[in-house]
Amino acid sequence: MAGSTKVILNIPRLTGLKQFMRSLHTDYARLSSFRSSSEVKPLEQYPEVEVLHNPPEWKYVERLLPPRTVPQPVEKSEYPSGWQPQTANGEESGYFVARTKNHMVPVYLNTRFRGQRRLTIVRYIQGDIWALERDLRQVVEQARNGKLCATRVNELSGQIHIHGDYVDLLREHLKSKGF
Amino acid sequence: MAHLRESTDKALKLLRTLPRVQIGNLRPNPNSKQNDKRGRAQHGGDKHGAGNKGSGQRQNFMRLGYETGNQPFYLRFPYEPYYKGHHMRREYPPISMLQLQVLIDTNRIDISQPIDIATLCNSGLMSLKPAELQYGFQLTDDGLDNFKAKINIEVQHASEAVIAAVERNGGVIRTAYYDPRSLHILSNPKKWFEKGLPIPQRMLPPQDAVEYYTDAKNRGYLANPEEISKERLVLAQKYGYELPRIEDDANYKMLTAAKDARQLFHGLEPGWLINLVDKTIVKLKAT
Amino acid sequence: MNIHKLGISTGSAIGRARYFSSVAKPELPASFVKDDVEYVPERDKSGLRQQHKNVLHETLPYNEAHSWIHLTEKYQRNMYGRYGSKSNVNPQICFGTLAERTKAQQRESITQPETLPELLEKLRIRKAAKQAAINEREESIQKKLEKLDQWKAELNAKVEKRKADAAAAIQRKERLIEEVRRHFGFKVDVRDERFKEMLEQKEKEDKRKQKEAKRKVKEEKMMAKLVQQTS
Repeated sequence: MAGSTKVILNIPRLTGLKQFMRSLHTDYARLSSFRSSSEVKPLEQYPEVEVLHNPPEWKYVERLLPPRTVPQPVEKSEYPSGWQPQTANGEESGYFVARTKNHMVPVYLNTRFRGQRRLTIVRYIQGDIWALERDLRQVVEQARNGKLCATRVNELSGQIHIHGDYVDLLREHLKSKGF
Repeated sequence: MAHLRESTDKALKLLRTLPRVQIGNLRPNPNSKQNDKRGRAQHGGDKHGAGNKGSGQRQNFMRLGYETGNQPFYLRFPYEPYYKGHHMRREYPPISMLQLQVLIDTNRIDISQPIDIATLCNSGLMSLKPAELQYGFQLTDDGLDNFKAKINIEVQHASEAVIAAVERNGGVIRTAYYDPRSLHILSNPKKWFEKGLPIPQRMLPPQDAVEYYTDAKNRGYLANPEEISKERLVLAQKYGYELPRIEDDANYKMLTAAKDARQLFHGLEPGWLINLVDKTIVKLKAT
Repeated sequence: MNIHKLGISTGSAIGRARYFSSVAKPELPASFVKDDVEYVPERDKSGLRQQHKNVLHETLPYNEAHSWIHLTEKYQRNMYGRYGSKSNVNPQICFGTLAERTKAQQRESITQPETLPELLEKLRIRKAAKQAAINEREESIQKKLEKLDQWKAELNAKVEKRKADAAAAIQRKERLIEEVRRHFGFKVDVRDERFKEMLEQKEKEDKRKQKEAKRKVKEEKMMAKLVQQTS
């Protein structure tokens, strides 16, 4: 469908009511609909252009395109933010806590009852989830000076819920384990 | 929660001794069921909570806020400008230095190139909503003590401590203004290129933003470069660090790469039409 | 699902454990359909319209115009942006006619009338005006501060004078009463009629005396002046 050739279908020029309706939609700053756009005029009315194939500035365009998948982290000597890549593979402990697709440790905080109930959730658990639950419970109870803590284990979805806000604690613990 | 295990054992013991669950054995929780019966006839109905005679029983209630004739509270005060000018107030969603460092550590951002709104939005973890009066990102000081990266970053607002943290590591930080149309384009450049429109030019900041972006203390993009160098030195002395010499750096060219005041993308000028499918740039013929 | 098998060590006590990571592989996502096997369908039972099939195969949906929309600049620009030269659209139309460009320029001159130097000039003027107002107020305060001590002294003097006059009046009254008492010789009640009459007489005399004294003082002053003038 070229810009200059006449169209096969014979569409009559805008008359009367149609013209009025079209004029209602031509407020440039607000509307960018097909109605606010004008018809393609004969090519002479448009400026002359030159098309450059594979120009040297194309590298700047490629920089602006987003990657299609989450990039893999690069090995570095130190990570100042405290992030660590995953080193463990679950053989030692019998359980494995996989990283999220953004390479983060899957420990989250949920709040219920208008913020009065805080739950720490550990996800993506595979293997012996009960052993992990024992480990995490011990860590949390130590932080609570021996007070028992309530946990909920969902083997099917591989999640452990712990009452209380121990997100930072458990995240550091899992990182120290290498997950 | 201390007796959770004990109560579970108790419950299991009960289950072993109690009879089978039948309809006749069940009862709902106390106070869980309310009587749905409507008030009708002599004792079920009677006055239906409306009292005796008077405007109450005759359902002739006064409107909410009416104070039986005197000026009601909600009409006493004529001017309450809580939202005055709210449609003109610019928002700058924050990015903390810690977040930025995590992005750099996990290789979501390429620090070998200048960082701007397009880079941050293309990482997929940040989004900008220009339609909700968000005029760009601001860099906050959360985690600036552990920030260690040499970057060329362009944000829309940054405090003094943040600027010091970036420059201390040998980086370059600038604050620049983008009008809403430019922000729409920058937050999703791929979508814009698929529209088939030539790159427009950036507009100047409005009157109340000119002061901020022409001030060297804020590293504004319209400020005098000489004054910016002076302010770099001042900040280094204030925060007590040795100002790194960018001129001696290998990445000098990348670190000092800056956009023109009317330019949207690095290296691409306004008026160029980019086509991603053909990998062409269409320019107006110079006449 | 992206599957990335980890290294499994043999002889683990638990048994063969396979742990799956949720991290994406560097290559593009895998599909369930094997790509090497060529699938040739007997007939196309997708039920899709031709334009939708074209879109799925990343070609131009409509080859001829079926609606007024296909004749608009916006639609053709979009087609050029999405399909490039395969769209058979001349990229010239993406730049707009001269009329549109002049209109856009006019619009911009209304929405953004000021150049940067003009904006800076306005800013400078506003700042200067603000500073001038501050300076003016500070100057006026400074002037008033200089006069503060003088005003304090004046006020104190006024208060003192008022107190002194009141005290003098009381003293005078006491004196006259004492004189009347002395005149009568014996203790008479103050509120007595005779006492009051005497008091009035005494007051009048006192006033006359005071006036004479004042007049004398004035005359002496005048005399002193005249003497000064003549000499």
